[in-house]
Amino acid sequence: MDGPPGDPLLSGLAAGRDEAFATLYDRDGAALFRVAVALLGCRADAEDAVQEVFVGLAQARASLAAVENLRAYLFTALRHAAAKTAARRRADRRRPFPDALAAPEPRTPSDERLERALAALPANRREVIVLKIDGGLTFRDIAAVLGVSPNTAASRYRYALAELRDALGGTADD
Amino acid sequence: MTDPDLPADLAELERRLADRPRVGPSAGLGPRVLDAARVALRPRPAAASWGSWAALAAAVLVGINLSMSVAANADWRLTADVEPEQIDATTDQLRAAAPELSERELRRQALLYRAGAGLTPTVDLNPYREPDRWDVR
Repeated sequence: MDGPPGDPLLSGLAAGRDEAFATLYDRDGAALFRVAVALLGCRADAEDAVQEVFVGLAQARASLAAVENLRAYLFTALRHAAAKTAARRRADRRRPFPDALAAPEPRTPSDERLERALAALPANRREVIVLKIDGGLTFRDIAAVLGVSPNTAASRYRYALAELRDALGGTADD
Repeated sequence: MTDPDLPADLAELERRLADRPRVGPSAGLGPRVLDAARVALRPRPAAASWGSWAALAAAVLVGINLSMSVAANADWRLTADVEPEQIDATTDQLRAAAPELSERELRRQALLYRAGAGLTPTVDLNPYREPDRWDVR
């Protein structure tokens, strides 16, 4: 389903069929949203980014036939959309910075601490964790999104987890 | 989802991350996203590109230039000048040929003759045509 030649979902998207877009949203919409929230920290911005991904997909449908890994394609587009949204937010100082709007309720103190530690990681570390955990991507997919080898994606993920563990005080159990 | 090669503490951290409460998309996001995609899928009327406007402007400029050039070189006189001396000479010739005509008619015929002499000759596309009675060719 990730885009081999002849994939009915890909061909449906390339043909601009509404039901193909609905199927794709049902399959990946929630994961895209979770990753967008984790990257942007704001529900409204995350929703805008997901919408931008689907609009971009519709506009570029003619070139979808050449896509080999649709999931990686989607999350790469989301990454670009999130970067653009973040840049807009930096330029527009009237808009609030990432806030608690994206936080689900209720959260335990342990979850709060974990979330804060995750948010405090360097962007490239946080990104690989978010893509793996919130996006449900494989290391092969993450490698395609980040433009690195699968081994690099896997080792970067482990380093990121270790850094997060250290930030939490040396134990995973907090 | 769990990486089997992870050390136990990192595997536990991974499990905590996966189990932490996460915000989900609102119920309205799906319809909103799909509506936006549907709008993007609609064929849009081809808008005139920058190049089209430039080509149109160039064509208009060339047209204006050609019009001005033609206008500047056109001879707007309706007929060739008719010199009074020519009229007089023709009147004399006609008078010699047809002395019965009145002076007024001689003058009129001379004017018509000189005016006709200024017309542009044309090619006869039908050489088998019966000549008209007044055809003097």
